[in-house]
Amino acid sequence: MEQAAQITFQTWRYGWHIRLRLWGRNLRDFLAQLRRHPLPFLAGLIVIAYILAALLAPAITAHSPIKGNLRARFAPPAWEEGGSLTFPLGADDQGRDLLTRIIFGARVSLAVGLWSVGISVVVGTALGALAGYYRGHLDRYLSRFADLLMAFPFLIFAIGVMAFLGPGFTNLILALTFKGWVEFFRLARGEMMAEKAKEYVEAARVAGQHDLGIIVSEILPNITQSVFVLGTLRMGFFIVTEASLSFLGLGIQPPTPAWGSMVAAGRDYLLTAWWVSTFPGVAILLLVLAINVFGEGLRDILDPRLKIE
Amino acid sequence: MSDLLLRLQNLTTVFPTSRGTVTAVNDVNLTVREGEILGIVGESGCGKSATLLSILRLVARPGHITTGEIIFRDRDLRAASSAQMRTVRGKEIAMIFQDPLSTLNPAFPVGEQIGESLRLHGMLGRGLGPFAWGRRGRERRRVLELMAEVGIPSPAHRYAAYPHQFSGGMQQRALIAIGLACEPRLLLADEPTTALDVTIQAQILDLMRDINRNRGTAIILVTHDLGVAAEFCHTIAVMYAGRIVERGTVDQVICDPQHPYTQGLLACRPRLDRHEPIRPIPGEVPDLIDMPPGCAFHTRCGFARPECLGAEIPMSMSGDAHYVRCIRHTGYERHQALAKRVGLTG
Repeated sequence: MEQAAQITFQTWRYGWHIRLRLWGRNLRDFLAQLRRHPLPFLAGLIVIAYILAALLAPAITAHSPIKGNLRARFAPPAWEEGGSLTFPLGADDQGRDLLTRIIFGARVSLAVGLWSVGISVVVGTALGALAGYYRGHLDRYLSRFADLLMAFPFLIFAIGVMAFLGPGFTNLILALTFKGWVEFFRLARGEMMAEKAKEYVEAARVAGQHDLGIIVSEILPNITQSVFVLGTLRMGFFIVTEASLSFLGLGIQPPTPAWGSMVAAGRDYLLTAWWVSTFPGVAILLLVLAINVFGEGLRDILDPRLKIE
Repeated sequence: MSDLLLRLQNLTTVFPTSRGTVTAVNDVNLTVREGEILGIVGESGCGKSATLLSILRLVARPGHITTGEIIFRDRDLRAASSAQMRTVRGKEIAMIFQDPLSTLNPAFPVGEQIGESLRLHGMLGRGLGPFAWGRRGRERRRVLELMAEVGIPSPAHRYAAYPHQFSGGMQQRALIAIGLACEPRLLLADEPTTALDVTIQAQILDLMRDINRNRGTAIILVTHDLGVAAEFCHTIAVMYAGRIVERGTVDQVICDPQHPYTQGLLACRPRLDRHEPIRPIPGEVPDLIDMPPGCAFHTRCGFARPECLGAEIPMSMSGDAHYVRCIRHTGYERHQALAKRVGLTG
């Protein structure tokens, strides 16, 4: 076993030049394909814009996202009467610049999305690959557990977990991934079972590959595309769920700017200052829409059944 | 020919099913010498492929080997640990398959897949430093050599191509290159030319013959085509319903077939030089779960006698190592007399 693990590690270690080259080549192919799909391309640009805004937040904003200015309370957007370019999208009930808070809010949303999808992908794919390859008791118990989790509606489950753990960034990630890995588990398990029956797996065994080597370096590269597509699509969902939890006061706590809690904070002033709730809502809508369109586009481009060589 | 490479002794492999036990490989004895080409011939489902997979101990579960020995270079593979088996597979015994496209991993360029078996069995030596300087270049050079050896034109251009960009013949050549990468002593070929058209088939067989001559690699070729076997092999074993029914050199088996099944196989081949009607063997292969007693072939045999239904028919030898499992065989009477004298029955 130790020797086998050693061999697997060796092949893995020396296989980097392949992986890097494959990624390079796939990326090139992928970008060439993307140019032929204008809508996903546009969506991708929007997502990149969000990511850049989140990364550069302190550099591109003039105001503090936390400290208010009571003289600027409910300052209207620039194009409304009485508005000024100091507060392009207006200010909230504490006189904080909405645009600044939305840009800082992107950090929360993207971080939550990336972390929860990342952990779900790793945990779900690893367990699904093992269950689909080895079957047996491992598969039976994991699948039953997955079925059990699937029986709960996502949001209710997340609310329950958050109420139990208490609010906070780490707990939010935990609440999302606790159920989020299941989708990836089922996908990876199904793909693994389908791939395992193929002849190249038999050939790898004949060539002296160890089980772990077969899973990691033979089969996984063949299922990463579907996992990647599902990951993108789930990301939008996780971001919406985070916003819902923050809206309900269970997610990110004020004064940290999160879009969900910003929508909630502006709810009371909808009739007098509509912009306080509206713009964070638009920010969520645009990001999730862009991620989903991009994900759908990815599926069209990467799905081998739709691909014409 | 030189010394013994592989010896199968009373090898039996069974597959338990819900209806009963299928004995896919039944008491098989075979020998392969260094540099020999052995053909295993028979109809579909007679245990040819199961025999090959048994040699590598890769019979799909719940199938397993029940009895017998697999002696490869003086050691019993049945007693080897799974780690030892992994170093045998690919390094000492390589295998190529019927459908080359599905056997190649679709996610990797062909050159990398050839290189992988080199990496897997440590054929590249140690690299220098943390990034294994030098290994990369050595691997690429070796892969290009192999690709050239198996006749892939302009290997440098084909190195980074994916399997689906290769033609069927090129895919099979690539698979052979993967098999040869670690310079195995024995190559198992499971119907390597069945999925290819006839001209390519001849090229691949020529390639395998060259490999056999130049490298001295022994080959076990599984085929249902007696013509291919007659042209290509040194020795032939004919299998029927999990058993070997006739075994000998090509001349013995093809020119002087003794078992009615071998005779039947030869008679049902279309021939251009004689205007004889094709005579197919009547009937079908018996159900392996519900085997007839005695000789498994008696249900289809034109010479069947009541004695054929009795006890199992043993292998008997005539001439120079020509083994036949039939009571009509000239060696049979002698075998029985000998067995009686040493106190064995049956």
